[in-house]
Amino acid sequence: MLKVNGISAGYGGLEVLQNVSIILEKGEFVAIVGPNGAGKSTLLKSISGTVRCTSGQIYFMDENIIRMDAHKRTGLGIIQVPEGRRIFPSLTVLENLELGAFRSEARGSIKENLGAVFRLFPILEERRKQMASTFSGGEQQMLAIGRGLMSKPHLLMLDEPSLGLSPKLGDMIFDVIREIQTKLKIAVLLVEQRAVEALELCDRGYILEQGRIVISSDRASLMGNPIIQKSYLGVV
Amino acid sequence: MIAERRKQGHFIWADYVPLVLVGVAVLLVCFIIGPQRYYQRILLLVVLWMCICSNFNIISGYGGQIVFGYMLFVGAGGYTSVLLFKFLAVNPWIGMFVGAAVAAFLAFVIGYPTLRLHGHYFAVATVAFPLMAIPIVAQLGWEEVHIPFAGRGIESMQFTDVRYYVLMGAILLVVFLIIVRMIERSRFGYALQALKQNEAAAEGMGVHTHRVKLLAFMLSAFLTGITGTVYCFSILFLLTTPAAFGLFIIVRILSITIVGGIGTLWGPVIGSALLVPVGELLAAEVGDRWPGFQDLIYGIVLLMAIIYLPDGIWGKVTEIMRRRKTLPSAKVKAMVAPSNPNSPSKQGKSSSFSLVTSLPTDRGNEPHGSILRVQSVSKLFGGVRALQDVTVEVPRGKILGVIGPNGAGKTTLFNVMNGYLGPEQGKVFFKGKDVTYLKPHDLCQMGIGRTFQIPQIFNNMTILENVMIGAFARERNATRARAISEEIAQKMELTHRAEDQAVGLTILETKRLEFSRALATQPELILVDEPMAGLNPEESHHIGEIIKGIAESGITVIVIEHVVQSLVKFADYMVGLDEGRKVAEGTPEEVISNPHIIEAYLGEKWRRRYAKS
Repeated sequence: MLKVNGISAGYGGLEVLQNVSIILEKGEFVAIVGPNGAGKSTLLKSISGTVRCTSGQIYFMDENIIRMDAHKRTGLGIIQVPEGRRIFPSLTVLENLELGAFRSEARGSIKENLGAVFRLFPILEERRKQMASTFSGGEQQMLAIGRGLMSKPHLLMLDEPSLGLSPKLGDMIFDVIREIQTKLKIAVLLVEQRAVEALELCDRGYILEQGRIVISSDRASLMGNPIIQKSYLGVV
Repeated sequence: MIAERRKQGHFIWADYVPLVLVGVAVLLVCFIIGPQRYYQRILLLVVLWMCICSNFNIISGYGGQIVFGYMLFVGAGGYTSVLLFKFLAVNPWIGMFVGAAVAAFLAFVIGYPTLRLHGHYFAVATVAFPLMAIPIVAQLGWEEVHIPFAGRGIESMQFTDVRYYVLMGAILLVVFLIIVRMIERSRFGYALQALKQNEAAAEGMGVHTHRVKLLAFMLSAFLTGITGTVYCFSILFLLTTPAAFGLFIIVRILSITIVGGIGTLWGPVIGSALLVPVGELLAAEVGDRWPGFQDLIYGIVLLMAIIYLPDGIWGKVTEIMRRRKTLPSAKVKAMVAPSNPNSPSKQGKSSSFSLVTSLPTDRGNEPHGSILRVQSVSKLFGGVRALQDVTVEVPRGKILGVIGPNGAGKTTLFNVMNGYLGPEQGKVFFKGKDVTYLKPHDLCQMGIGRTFQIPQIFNNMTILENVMIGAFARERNATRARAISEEIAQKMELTHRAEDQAVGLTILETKRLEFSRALATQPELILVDEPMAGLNPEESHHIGEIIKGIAESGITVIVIEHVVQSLVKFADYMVGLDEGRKVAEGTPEEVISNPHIIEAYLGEKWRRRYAKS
């Protein structure tokens, strides 16, 4: 479904990604793991279109979208849940969710999608009239994911959803993400620093280190792989 | 050849001849116009606006501190000398300097508190003062002051022939232009331009930004005070508050300097020569039917300039000239010196940075070889403990690496070390002296240099000038500062581009420039903030070689870095932080196998399941 083919991207003179290629099949769960600063967020932003690539191709459902504007990619069903949540704090939960249903395909089925989101996160239904600013970090993350789901994505991309959450809350979020993939049949691209948690969930994973993919494999051979610790902490 | 001599800091007559020629040109126009009063008055206005805008340019153009209330200084200078003349019969030539001193004093009083404000706040704060001056002057009964006509010509600065004022204006203009040019070439001028572009970086290079701004502001006000006297006396009969403090003054100043080119010597000259005659002539044509037509013209021109010519006419001209000059040669350079990260790294080992003037190694009462000691430092940010009781000893001449995940407190520790933050508890000692609450520029003077994570390059300057900003921290003489900078630029392999503007550099060139500038401050200790961020492994390796070279020359290096795997290859010693605490310390091997650090980077599950300890 998604084929990222040798892209390079960066900011100003910095080339954050170098010749990165990843593949994601329909309904698949792919994790990208690597230390901070490896370029994980930049990779997601390149796919969602908020960062321009300097070379390479990105195919989404066999269409090269590398020159497409970000809002058109959203229209195709590529939805990114940004790092740090970025919910609208002065709006209520319901308003936040409704804003997620901006995509034309999603507008017809707001009720239905809302139901799906509330089934995943019952707490959002309980507090649907509350201002989002009163939420804890974990609840805000649920809201951000829920908002992403409201647009009925084909591909949901999550940028460090566990950031700033306690290990327990983080685990809960990870469980929900797995549920989204299995029950709602949405392909998930997860970017995480917490290597074990992300790799446990995924079908396949990639290790990103200083802008390059150093290894790509299935879950079993990545779990506990010493290359990962080397990516994070190096060898003397 | 002239360029060569200029580089060596010689006084070049050729640099000043054009300035005198401006004065000659004014007098020539004056001669051609002959006795036609009306056109002479326009010429006088042209010259006076050139003067005022050149003065304005010192603080607002070169220093980047826009003074929206600048008319205060025109009025203060003019009113002071006129009132002294009228009531105390003080000679206007003396009154002129008293007025200038009053203007400078006001600049001090206003600038001292407000120049600490950043960004637009200073600009807006200054508007208040001329607004307050108008009712105060009116309350004192001086809303309109009749200037008594003494008719003693030069003695009372009162001439019925406008040409005398034009002559005075021309002389003042030449003097002011010379002053501006001298500032451009001086340590003071470099400091001004540096702080305009980035105050934090300038502070880090040892520039006492508040003092430099205040001096520039007072100098600017003083010179405008002088101009104000000539301006007010040339009115001859009646001085009013709107004429001396009116809003139209700042509108004209901004239009003229921005159209001509703000922050350039020629900008005010060009702007005034173009706008003032057009404005005056148009006003004479339609002013009776359309009062305020001139303000409309200035407003439109200002708007157009900001949109289409933000760097002004002179900025555009120099840009075109530069492009013509550098385009072909830049291509050649790009071919000759590709940014090959491998070739310089070979030399990395041999490069050492012992400087022309080595510092007296006054180790004071530095305890057993540690140059910096951070002692039990704690820092709070709105209830969050960014640092908790952190103690770090930095051995002299070594490379210390500080690592930790996001939010571990690395940057906070860095900012406590370099003086941007003061801790709530604990102390920092440099060479045995307590430096806990010293400002960045003080620390720079003492021998602590730094580089920035996002390179802070002053891109209106050449590469060499960028390095010179650093050199000026300890070296007042521009020639010697240039010599030091050239030597460092050579060691950092920047010589081939030294005279190029510092724009469009490769990432490695930018990093080398950052290191050069920090080294030019002749530090004993360099603090390096995340030098590997965003770099690929080859580039990181190259940075590592540079840092090793610096340490080999005897300068202690502290590297704060997230990319641990690059750091472990060259750090002598590491400290690991997590959640504001020091959790590991020792050799790189020890630190990266420390369970605390493994957990901090890879999570608790990884440590429990996979970490060998």
